[in-house]
This record gives sequence, structure tokens and C-alpha cells, in this order.
Amino acid sequence: MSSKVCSIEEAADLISNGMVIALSGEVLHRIPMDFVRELIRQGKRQLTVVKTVSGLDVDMLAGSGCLSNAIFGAVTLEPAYGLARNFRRAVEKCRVNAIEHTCYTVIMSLRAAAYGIPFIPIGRINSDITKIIDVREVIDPYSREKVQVVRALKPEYAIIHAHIADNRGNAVIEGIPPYYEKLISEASSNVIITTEKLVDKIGDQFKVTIPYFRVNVVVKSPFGAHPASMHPLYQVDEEHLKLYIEHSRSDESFNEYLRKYVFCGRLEYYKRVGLLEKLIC
Amino acid sequence: MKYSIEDLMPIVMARLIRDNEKVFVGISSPLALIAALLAKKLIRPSITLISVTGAIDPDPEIPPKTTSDNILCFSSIATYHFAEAFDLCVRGELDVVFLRGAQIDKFGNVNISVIGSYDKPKVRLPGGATLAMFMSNAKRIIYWTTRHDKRNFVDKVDFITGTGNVEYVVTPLCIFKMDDGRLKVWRLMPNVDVDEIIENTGFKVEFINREVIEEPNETELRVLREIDPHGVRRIEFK
Repeated sequence: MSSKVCSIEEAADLISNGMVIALSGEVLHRIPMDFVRELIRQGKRQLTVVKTVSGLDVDMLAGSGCLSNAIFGAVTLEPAYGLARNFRRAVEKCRVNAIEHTCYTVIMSLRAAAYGIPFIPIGRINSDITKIIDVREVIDPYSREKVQVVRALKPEYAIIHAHIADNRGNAVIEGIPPYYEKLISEASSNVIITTEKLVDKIGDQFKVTIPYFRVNVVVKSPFGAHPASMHPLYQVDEEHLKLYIEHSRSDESFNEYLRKYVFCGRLEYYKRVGLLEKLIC
Repeated sequence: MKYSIEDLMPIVMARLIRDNEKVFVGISSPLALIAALLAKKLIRPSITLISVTGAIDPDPEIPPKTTSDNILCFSSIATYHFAEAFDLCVRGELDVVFLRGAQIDKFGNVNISVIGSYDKPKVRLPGGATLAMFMSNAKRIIYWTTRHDKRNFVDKVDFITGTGNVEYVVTPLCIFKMDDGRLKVWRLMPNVDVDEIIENTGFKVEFINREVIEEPNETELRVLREIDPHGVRRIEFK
């Protein structure tokens, strides 16, 4: 039984420029930020990110020049924290192509990929979005009525932040329904797990969300969602989030953020946000 | 008891929910979350509240600032997933969805995608999340906005993110109701002048009537403050 454990550098190195990747979580919760920061450090380019509702992850990739296309239902930090400014600027300056879906069609497109079928009928959508994402109409061969369909969307990699994983790649996502994580793990060609806790063996097979044979590599990543939340382990780091948002007002100030908190290196990041001691414990 | 518009809006929104309805509250929806929690606790205990986080009937001690915060699951009585809630809606089983946008016209077309052209937008907005599907498939859409002005109530939206099934539109000035395919003023908020509505609406204002909404009573205000001690309901007004 070979170990799939590798460093975050090795895991991020699997992502080539131009790839389509799916990320776990929503908005400010359960997102693989440690991995996102490593993608930025490695200077990835022309990535396409697939997500239902993105927040910090897509905003950061847009602000660091890694992103070419965003496939999304929404990109926001919610009214409490405002618009995703890097993303907004990148789209308005035509540096990022915004491919607006609805979360529902992202799910259906991923379901088609997970089911191994080329396209899938969907519930009716009346929206200008249907032109953006190429929703088509076909005749239902049974009822002879028109039905909308979307094409399968198969990301090359899913990057999923888990609570616990073992070194073979079995991953546990605790508490909150991990439907989306499960879906992207089945829809994508490859899976990278980043995990808060790494163990030799998951004791309880019924807890495993994603079984090892779907997983390529596992990376230990404590506080890997920071500054987003990973319930029940930690909540949003509001202080750091506000600092991030302040820096995201312009390209210049965001570059300063990247210098100070991303290009400084992984350990230095955790030191600068005051988590290094907890990390060592 | 004194109250502010931040208190009045969720109370009014809560009153629009009916018995036994399944109600969905999505991301970026602090006012809708507070309204649904208030309805569940006070006036419509029979409703089922489904949060985008997967929480069914959450009852948080302190509501989170972001409604995508899955901390809501920890005070819920069961969990679901938003993808399952989408399926529920497509099957025609979802009664009410609270939605908001950046622009709405008199036909109830909603835009929360772009200001300007889609390909080269003047402003890239967050996007509708699942607004397009909900508007096409939910039984009733209750739309709310904390801004009632000509930038939000427009003659023609720049992009139709979603359309359909709007029943009410709640604003700080009034409630519109869909009537014969058009949004028409149905209730005025207290102390609001008809001219103020007309001046701040980008389409020709029609009236079903000019009745004033009933002011919040003491119980509504007390329970509202218990549910939301830290003022999550004020976030959207900032």
C-alpha cells in the first residue's frame, strides 16, 4: 500500500498552465486556500476554475494573474464583505473571461461528467445566461416536448480540502453535507486532497467521503482554508480577511499583499497571520 | 416601540411567508435569513426553512454575517445539500425563494450579472448564483432590495439574469405586487409619500392601492431583536 502523501509544492506542480480545475467549498468556507497560494507562488497561468459560488479563491487567482476563465454561479464575498474586487477588476479589464452559469447548471454539468454521459437534460431556465453557457434545446424522444440540455463538464483536477485523510488518500469531510466535494471528486479526471489532519488509517470506513482509488495525492494542510473557515475547527479570520479586502482595492496594493503574504513562503504566511504556534502543536 | 427600516424590512418580509411553505434562503441574503428565522419562530412555525448551507430549520444563537456560512448546520434539525434543494425546486416542490438583484424592471426581469454589455461590462456584478433556475421553477419569488432608486428600478435591465414567478418586491419605500404581468405598488411603507416612490422608480409607477403597511408590533420587534442580537439585518444597509 503505497503512500500518496506529497508536499504542497509537488501537488501544485501537477497543475499545468491552461488546465481546468474544480475547487471545494463555497464563498468563505471549506476552500483550499493553502493550495491556491501555492498555485500563485508557482506562477500558474491561464487556469480555468469551476465553482458554484466562489469567493476568496477565485478572487485571489484573478488578482494574481493565474486565471483566464471562471465558470461560476456567483463570485462574491457576500454583503458583509462586499464584491470580489480582484475578480471584478480582472473581468472589467478583460483579463478574465467570466462564464456565468447558475449554480444549478454547474451542478448538472458536473453530474453529466460524473455519470459518464455527454450531456444532460435540465429543469427549465429562462435567462440570458443560456446564451453564455450554450444551453441547447432538444426534443425529448418520449414526450416529443422541448427540453434544455447542458454539456458535461469534466475538470482535469479537483482540489478538495478535507478534515481528515489517511496516507492512501481516503478522505473524510465532517459534519456538513459533502455532496459537492463528492461530486467534483467523481466528475474530475484527477483528485488532490489537502487535509487538516493526516492519519495512518481512517478507523471508520463509514466516515470516508472520498475513497482512496479516486485520489492521486494527499497533502497535509493544517489551517488550509485560512483565512476562510473550516467548521467546526475554525471560523473565518475576519481580521485578516479585512486586511485582504483593503489590499484588493487596486492592482498595486494587491501586489503588495501577494508579496507580503503569498510570495513570502508558506511557513512565513502562517507566521505572519499568527498561526505558526498552533501549526506546530 | 421605536423601530428603524432595518427592523421593518425583515418583519414585512416574514409576513409574506405562508403556513406550511418550504422556504429557501441562499447566499448573500442576511435580511432574508432574518426574515425566515422570524417567520419560523413567531408567525409561521409550520414552515420549513432550507438554507443554502444545507441547514434545515437552523436556529442559531447568533446568525452568521454570511448566509453561506455552514455554521448554520450546527443548529439545524437535519441537513440537506443545496444541489438537492435545486432538484426539489425543479420538481416543483419549493414554495418560496427570497432573491435580490442589482436591477429589476416592471416585468420582474432581474439583473445581477453586469452593468453595461456582458462581454465588456462597466461593472461586473457577482452573478446570480441560482437565481435564474429559481425564478423559472419556484412557486413564489419574494424579491427584496435595500435600495429603491432609479438605478435599481429601471425601464430595461442590462442583462436578464433571471425572470419569472416574482410575486412581491419589498423595498424601503413600498411593496410591489405582480398584477397582470406588471409590478404595481401594493403597500406603502409607513411615512412614505407616493411622490417619493414615483421619483425613485425608473419605470411608470402603477398602483393596486395606496394602503400603508401595518406597523411592526411589540412582539415582532422583541423577537426580531432576540433572533438577531448583533444586527446582521443592518449589513445590507451599509
